Amino acid sequence: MRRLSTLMILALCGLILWSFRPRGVRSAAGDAAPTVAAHSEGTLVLDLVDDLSEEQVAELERTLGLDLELSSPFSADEGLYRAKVADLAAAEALAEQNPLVEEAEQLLEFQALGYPDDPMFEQQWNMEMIQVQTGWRAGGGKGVKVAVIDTGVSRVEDMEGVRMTEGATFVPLTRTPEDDHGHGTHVAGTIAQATNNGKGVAGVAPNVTIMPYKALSKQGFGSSDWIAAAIDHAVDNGADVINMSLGGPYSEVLDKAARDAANRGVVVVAAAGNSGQRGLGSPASAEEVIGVAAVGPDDTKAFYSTYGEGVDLAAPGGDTRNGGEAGGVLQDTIDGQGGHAYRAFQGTSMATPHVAGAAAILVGMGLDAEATRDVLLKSSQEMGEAGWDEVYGYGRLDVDAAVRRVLVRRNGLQFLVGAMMALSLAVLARLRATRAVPMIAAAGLTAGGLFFLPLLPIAPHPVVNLLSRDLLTWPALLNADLAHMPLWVSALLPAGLAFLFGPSKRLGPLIAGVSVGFGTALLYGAAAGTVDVWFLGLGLDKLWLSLNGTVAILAAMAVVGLQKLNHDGEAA
Amino acid sequence: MTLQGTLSREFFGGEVWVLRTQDGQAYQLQGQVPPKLEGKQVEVIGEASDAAFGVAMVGPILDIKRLRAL
Repeated sequence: MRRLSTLMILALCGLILWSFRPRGVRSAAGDAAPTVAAHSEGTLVLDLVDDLSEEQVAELERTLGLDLELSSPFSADEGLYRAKVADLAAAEALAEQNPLVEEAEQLLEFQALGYPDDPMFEQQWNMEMIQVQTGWRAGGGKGVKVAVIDTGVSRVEDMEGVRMTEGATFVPLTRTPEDDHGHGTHVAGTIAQATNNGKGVAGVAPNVTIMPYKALSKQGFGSSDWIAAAIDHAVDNGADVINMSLGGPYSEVLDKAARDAANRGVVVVAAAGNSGQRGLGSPASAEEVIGVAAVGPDDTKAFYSTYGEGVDLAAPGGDTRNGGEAGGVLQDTIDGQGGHAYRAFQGTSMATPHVAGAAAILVGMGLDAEATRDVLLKSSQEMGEAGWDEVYGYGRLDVDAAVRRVLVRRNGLQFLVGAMMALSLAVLARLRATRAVPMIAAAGLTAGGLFFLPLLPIAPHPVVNLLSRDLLTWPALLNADLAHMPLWVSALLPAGLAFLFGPSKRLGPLIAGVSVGFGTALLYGAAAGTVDVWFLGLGLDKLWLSLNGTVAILAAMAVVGLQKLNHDGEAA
Repeated sequence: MTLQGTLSREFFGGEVWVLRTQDGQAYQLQGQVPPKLEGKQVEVIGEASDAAFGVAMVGPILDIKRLRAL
């Protein structure tokens, strides 16, 4: 038993240390570069000497017997090319002997175990830029409702299986929020395109529920009152995040609706605009709204991005002027002829849903709107001037950093507290000579949430997602709001289970572990202010969490006591 | 209002016709624009649209009353 406890503590320390490791450029698989197998087919990446002429490149192609193509439309300056080869090892050796080749190596696909399998994912430079995969492993926004106020949303082929509410339309002479323009469906795709479905492209938060609102006409125009009405409807129907890839002049009606939504606990995200000039309009300019500017594939300001007061974050919006189709943000949308098409669009409209998707991921992890905004801004990649600037706001969106910030700083600390509690209870149980010490410890740790699981380079899985969260946030997988109900964030569940099954020899230790994990989460929530309890204001929420947390821990101790009685009974 | 400037076809989540005046202000035009006028100097008589919000966000939206090449 002592050996087991020691091993467990060592493993725990190792995992915690591991989660604090320095971040690599890419987080997915492929940390260890695979060696090139002889005679294997593949793609070779060649870094050529800078400033070669087209003739020199053509000559090199002939010498090496390769068909070189630019790695991306933006890699000509760096001389980065790729070529399909039949024998990687031989081609690499030959290329490296050539003086015009600085480096040659096998193309490494930085995807975890072939995940995702969406065939066009590798064209989504925008998803790689924001390091989206950590967000998928952290739940991908499950249980979170994201309202898309736009030209409507159509269920195109690559939206199959994505959760969607009925929504509503506010455009006269339309009866459903079906998209008749193409913009809204594209935006919704960036948020929640079906991911790892073997088709098309991926989305930032594929597990959210999209609430489609049509507030812009077939021509892409709308009035402030249509949009304001859509905001109110979305809030009344439980939206957690609102995406508005739209804008116009200053409108008090619109700003007030957006402000009210934010004050009611909704994350409101809006596009900064495409004027290329200074001065944002409504709704992005409202202080409570996260205003989103755009960067191109080169990760600098897109030529069209509006700047000034009100810009909070930047995100990939694409640049088809310089990069052509490949420089745009690629998603599935309607083709205007009854079908669908994968289209590359540019604009702050395209940048905004990246932020909305990221916000949904954080809300799904149990953060309230205020904390979500705070984490998004603080975890962004610093761009431009230090701190805030009018072009990039606080920086460019970084989903990996945002999720990591929540997992390590918040859940990691909670996990540590939970681990200490669970181990203390296990020691107590041992002193009282019960048999189920490992079960108590394991259940206690799991109930506190194995926070580090989403940081492992594994494909997302519902079970992984479940085990990575503390029990308090489990209901959020159904609906983000459930995890804030006073009766749920109380001792009701642990005390009830302890009362019903505490004496059971089999279930008792499990209940003790669960109760201690649950109780720790409540107490931690009270201390760190990380649990938002609805209907309880004026500090009552902290009192509620503290009292209930204490009761849950006492319930766990009582169960251990009952187990001892069991044990004594058996001994007698 | 009557405005003069260069007409361009731009793409922000779909096609949009934009009038750029000499002082650098961009207006988004709503209504029929003959494609042959792309890149041309034009005069637009229009009025601010009631539907003043949109997906393109390049500038104020004008409903075209009259449009002619200069």
